[in-house]
Amino acid sequence: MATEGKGALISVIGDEDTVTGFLLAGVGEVDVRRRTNYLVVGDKTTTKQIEEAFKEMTSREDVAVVLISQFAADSIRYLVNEYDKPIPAVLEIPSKDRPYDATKDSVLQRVHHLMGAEDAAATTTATGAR
Amino acid sequence: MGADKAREESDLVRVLELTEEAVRLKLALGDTIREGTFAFSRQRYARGPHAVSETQYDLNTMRATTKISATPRSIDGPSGVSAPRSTSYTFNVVETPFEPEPEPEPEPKPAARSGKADDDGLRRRPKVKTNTEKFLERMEALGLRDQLAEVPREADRDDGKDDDASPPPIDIDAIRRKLGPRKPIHWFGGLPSPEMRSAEAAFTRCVQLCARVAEVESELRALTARARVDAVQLHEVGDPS
Repeated sequence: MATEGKGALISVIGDEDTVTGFLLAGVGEVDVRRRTNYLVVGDKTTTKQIEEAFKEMTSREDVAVVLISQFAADSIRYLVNEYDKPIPAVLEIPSKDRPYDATKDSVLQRVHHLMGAEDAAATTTATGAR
Repeated sequence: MGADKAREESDLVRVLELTEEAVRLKLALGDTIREGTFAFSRQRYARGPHAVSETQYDLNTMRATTKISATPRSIDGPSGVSAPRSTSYTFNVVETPFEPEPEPEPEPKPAARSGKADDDGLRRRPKVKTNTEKFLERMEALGLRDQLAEVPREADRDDGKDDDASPPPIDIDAIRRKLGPRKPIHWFGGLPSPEMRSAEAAFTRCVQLCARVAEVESELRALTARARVDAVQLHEVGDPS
């Protein structure tokens, strides 16, 4: 698998400063088909473009982690919430002007729902035992 | 039944610990990202608003030198407790050095057409037609050779040079490929400023934090998936029908 051994790519979807910063750290890649592993989300970026970039990056075999700023994830929340593959891992990251909101994080939401489901199951069992 | 209950409780405790760690790591990630973007702001203040922008990315030679490797590992329950196996991943940052692209193999040159036998083993430069010869050939092909008033005098140019020779165009992309990719910090200027170095260091720490967050969330996903299966089974057992 491309994700083991030599390593796989880290994709980034975020604002200009976030993407520039991660590119500065050396994660940027442009392949021979001029396909990039990042998307700069600006004022003119449409939801459809973010959606297509997210779908493309999560289907690539040479990508292990997809970093997406939380404000971009909010615009395609339905896609992020229903994504459940372990690889590539999708991480919601904060941006410079929008602090991290744990209540919107898809992974933590899943944990929260699970806690609620476990409580309901325990209540059902206790009621049935009487 | 008791063993399953113990496993579920340990899983629940582990989920709570991982949730707390995930939130802590993401808050730290947010602080580090903010530190890096402040460095960009200082750079823009010193060098102008376009000192750091998307237009400076080097799309010709951009190659990832920082990658991440994902190694699968299984999550087992406490010793002595049977548990369904769940798979999470360990993420490690891998630094790969620059690898310049291999130069394309040169095309084989055509054999010399000297018109003489190469018995002496010497390679001769192919005879290049002069403009006059080319013109005469063209006239002959069109059937107009006889209409020429006089045959143009052939210039004594046997040095292989063409009258219309012009210097070959400079292929900047080929030169850049030969030199190899530059470090991203050099996209923004030949001599990186302290602000850019500070931003580079901050975002390098961000990549390490992202690897740690990915590992924690991977284990969280595996545990929640396993707990979901247990909850469904518990619900089916408790169902009177």
